[in-house]
Amino acid sequence: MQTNIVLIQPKSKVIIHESKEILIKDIALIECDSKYRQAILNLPILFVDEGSGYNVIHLIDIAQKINSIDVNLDIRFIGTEDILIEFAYHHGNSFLTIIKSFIIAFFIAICAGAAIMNFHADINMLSVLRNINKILTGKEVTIPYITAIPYSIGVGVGVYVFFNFIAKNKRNKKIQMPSPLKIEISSYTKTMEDYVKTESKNNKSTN
Amino acid sequence: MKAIILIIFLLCAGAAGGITISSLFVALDIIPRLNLSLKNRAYTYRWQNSVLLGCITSTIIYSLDIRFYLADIFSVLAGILYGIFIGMLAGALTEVLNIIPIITKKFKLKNNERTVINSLIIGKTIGALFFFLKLYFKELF
Repeated sequence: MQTNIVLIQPKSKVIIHESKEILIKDIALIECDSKYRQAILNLPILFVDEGSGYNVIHLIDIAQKINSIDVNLDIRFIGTEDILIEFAYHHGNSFLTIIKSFIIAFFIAICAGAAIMNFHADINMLSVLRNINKILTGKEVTIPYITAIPYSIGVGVGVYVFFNFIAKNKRNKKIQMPSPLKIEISSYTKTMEDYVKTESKNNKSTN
Repeated sequence: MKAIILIIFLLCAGAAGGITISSLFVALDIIPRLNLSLKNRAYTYRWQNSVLLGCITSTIIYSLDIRFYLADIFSVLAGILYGIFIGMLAGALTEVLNIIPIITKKFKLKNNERTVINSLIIGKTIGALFFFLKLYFKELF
């Protein structure tokens, strides 16, 4: 028995590197009867121009396009998220990118050092270490080097432990637990993309 | 009467300090993260109790000015452990303040977490060393 149900599960984000016509199979996973299959999968949705930025495809656009094939199709969406299409130039490992990443690394290192020095001055770290040294060894010294230098190395170890708490296991193909920095970057990106999608949806009108 | 009021007042002050410390631990996700690396949820109560025990004992030792007269190696050990804790605190603060996502987004640096983390580590260590050795240089000259 042939059914005319079309199941569509949209992806949330697609990144493309060159200007091209976006087809439905690029932006969504589709399950339907084999009679319509090729026609729906290769249906063009949007042409994306050169230039970095975002395009948003709304679910209603997909519904309109599929309706244009056959009005009797029963379209069902799995998920309610719109699809964001990002155009990004393909840089790869060019010389400029490496230089830029070195500059950023230097900047972050300086910032981190300045921040930890600010923090030490704020909470009067020297007297805290002096106290620890006094409690443990009973000696009163002006600058407790035997505590301060291991402490400084410990700060580096602490940052390392915080950001790399899972041992990397690349032998099996399962998805490993990501580092907290990756989660933070992903959640920041997600908030921004949600904003773009909502703005685009609210400014759209049916024609 | 005066003493009772004072005791109640000090109890409240101590409770405020304790709540601050524990909310710092919880809000900055330090214990949950350590728990993740252990891959076992059975020890959560033990960890709570160790925070409690550490706070109380260190407060008593600090306020009664108790000294232990141990060897220097214990001071080194305490320095390392304290440094690891402060490093994790600094990492958590950096993460909460959303600096790194904004930088990587602005400068279009994706998949460069290793570089960022390594530069954070180097910067923190050198900054901390400089803070203490600056005084050492001042002492020399």
